[in-house]
Amino acid sequence: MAELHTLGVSDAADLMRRGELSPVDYTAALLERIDAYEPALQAWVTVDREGAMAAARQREQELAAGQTPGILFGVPLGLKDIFYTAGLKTTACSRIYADFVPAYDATCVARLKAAGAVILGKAVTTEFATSDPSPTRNPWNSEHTPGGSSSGSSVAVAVGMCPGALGSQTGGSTCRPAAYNGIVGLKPTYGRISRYGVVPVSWSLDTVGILTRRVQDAALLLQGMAGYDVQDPGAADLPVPDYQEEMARWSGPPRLGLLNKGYFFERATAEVRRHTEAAAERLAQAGAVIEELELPASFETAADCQRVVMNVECAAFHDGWFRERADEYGPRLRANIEQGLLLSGVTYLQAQRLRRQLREDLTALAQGVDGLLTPATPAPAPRDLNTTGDAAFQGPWTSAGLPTIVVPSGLAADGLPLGIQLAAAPFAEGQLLAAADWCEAALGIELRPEGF
Amino acid sequence: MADTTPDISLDTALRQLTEQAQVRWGADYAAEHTALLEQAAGYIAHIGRNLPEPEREPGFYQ
Repeated sequence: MAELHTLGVSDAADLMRRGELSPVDYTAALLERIDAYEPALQAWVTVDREGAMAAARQREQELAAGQTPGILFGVPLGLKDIFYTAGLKTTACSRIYADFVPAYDATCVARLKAAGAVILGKAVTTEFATSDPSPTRNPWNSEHTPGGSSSGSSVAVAVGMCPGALGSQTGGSTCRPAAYNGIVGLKPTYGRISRYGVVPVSWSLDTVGILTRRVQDAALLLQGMAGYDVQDPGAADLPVPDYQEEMARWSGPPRLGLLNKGYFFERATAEVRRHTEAAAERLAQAGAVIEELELPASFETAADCQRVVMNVECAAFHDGWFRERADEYGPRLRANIEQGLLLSGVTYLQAQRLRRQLREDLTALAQGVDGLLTPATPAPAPRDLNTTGDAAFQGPWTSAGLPTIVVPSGLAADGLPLGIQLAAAPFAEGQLLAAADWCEAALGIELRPEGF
Repeated sequence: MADTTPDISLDTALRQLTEQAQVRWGADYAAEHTALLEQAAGYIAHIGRNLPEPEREPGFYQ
């Protein structure tokens, strides 16, 4: 058997369902790994040792009693500290929520548990999942940002503290740190996973994100959480397909639309442009059909609309506390809220109208291919701990609500990870995951930071 | 209030935002946060130059 910390979600669940791996042993091994590396990496706010071990023991008892194990049977996971966990502090890494203990689990957390998952604890986020950097360190080079806002979740997965974790994305908070840490990040379609019980940044943008080391593991976590929830007004009332079946159906070489003109390549460094072109060439040599596509005119305002909507909605959520306790907010979040308070209702609604047109245009573009291909980030993780990096390559997709996935594609000259990003039409996660899974195999890149 | 109108210029948006910030948080704040105000003015002016096309809009809130 492989070393336990290298197991993915799917492999670990299979072993435990067959009785070849004990959920208790597996959970204990990952808790030991957290103990070993947490002082250097600072990925966790709360490690719930007792709760995790109790849940692992319960899984063993369920299997012994002949109960049918769930798809995530015994799999230990991390949760960004914005997901409500009954009886376990949910701080959003903020002073405002510092002592908040929810009375219930977020819907997605409850669904993970129902599928058999074991919750290891709460991972560090930037304050309220926005832009003030967290103390978490990038395991590839501690002088470079790990990204954000899902910094703890990404780092925990990258070093094998857990095989998967939840993040969230309002701008670039799942796919960007995934790229910076050399792992897979999946941002599903807006509305695919319930946000009930998730501390919001911006209601019309927030999306639950998934961080794993393999594409198939992201598919399994999505399967465990996707679906309608009457308690989230943004949740889509659409059937959830069997993603494994969909991936099998679309398993051949994909047709990819390379967006190598305009926005993405203009903002990427020369190294990232060359790297993405080379990755596309490798994929073509392996059988993918690569078609060069151009972005629609509505993409022009995509990033601005995302910022306007995010800041105004963020200001609305924080307005009450902010009036009394502004000095308890970090400087970047404070600036975002203040900007949101200054922007007019008309500006906000014009941005929302433009978002709708962007979604239509990008959907039409994506429907002609299995995935739209871009670099994951303009550059590798910056050597600057005062920033979480550049979310320019994620914000527009988040604004349009389309699903995206980041897959590791190699290392930059400075030794830091690079990735490619694929986007698909709304609710085409099966097709997107299949294309990403194929690309992952064709590229043959599996990254692991040295020393971990 | 700095509104996104089709012809609003960056300078006009910035002036209006600065006046609002002065009223809300004082002149010192406005002077210390010019970058923030310029960024917001940029959003307003950029969106104002690219307003949605009503004839192809499917009907907001329908």
